[in-house]
Amino acid sequence: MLRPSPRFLCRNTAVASDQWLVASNCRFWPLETDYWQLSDFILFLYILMTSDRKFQMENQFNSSNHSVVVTVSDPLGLHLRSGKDVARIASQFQAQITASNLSRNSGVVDMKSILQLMQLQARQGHDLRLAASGPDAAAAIAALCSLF
Amino acid sequence: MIGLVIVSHSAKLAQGVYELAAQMAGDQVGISQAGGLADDCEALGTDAQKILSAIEEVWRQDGVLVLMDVGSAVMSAEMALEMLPEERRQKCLLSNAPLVEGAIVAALHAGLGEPLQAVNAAAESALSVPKYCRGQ
Repeated sequence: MLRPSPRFLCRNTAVASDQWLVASNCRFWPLETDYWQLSDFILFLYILMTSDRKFQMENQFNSSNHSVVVTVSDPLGLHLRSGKDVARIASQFQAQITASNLSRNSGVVDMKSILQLMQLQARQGHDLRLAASGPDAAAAIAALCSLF
Repeated sequence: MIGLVIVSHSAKLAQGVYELAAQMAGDQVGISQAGGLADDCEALGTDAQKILSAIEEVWRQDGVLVLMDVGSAVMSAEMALEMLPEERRQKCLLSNAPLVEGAIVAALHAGLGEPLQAVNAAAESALSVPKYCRGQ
């Protein structure tokens, strides 16, 4: 997997939200090779041509990713009624919020969906990894942590 | 905020689903039920007039979502819709969602104040969510 060098990341922190801004603001032209190394040029093209990569770069710079592991304390586990509160709280945030049951090695589910939360089949003592990405990710994780 | 109607062949099943949905919804969501035949609640079946009354009971300006079990419940619900005045019929939607899961999801999303189409989409997504993943 191609990874950007730290030096490259520093140059682009201010303009990572738009790939075309990156091009114009940095006055990046092949002629200025003394300014930019060839490896940076290749990397630049790579990011420009892969939207997935661009999305990851944006995520890295413009929004936050937070994750935490919580242990289910409810003797009944994560059941329908407690799950309802979780889904409701999660729905109040813009961030994309997911959960997986580490104790069952489960897949990742959307915490805003009550039926997907029920798929976790989480019993008391199970460890769940909650992850959020988006502008209010930290607040979302803080709010959801208090429910377990 | 929209209203929900639970339609089932069995009055007891409708009552049970109603209780589940009420647990998931906030206070502002109107939920009504139309289970069993009109004149004999013990007999299994559905009745268009009963469904119509249930729709009128929870009528909201934002619309009403009707959740049904199977077969003639759908036909009776269609007939009930035909009996509604035109302007109300347009804001009344029959959901393809499974009754129990759909009612739970619809109640939760209706309680969040989501519009009719969004609540129905969430409820119908229950069709593609397995209860659990095998091998866990």
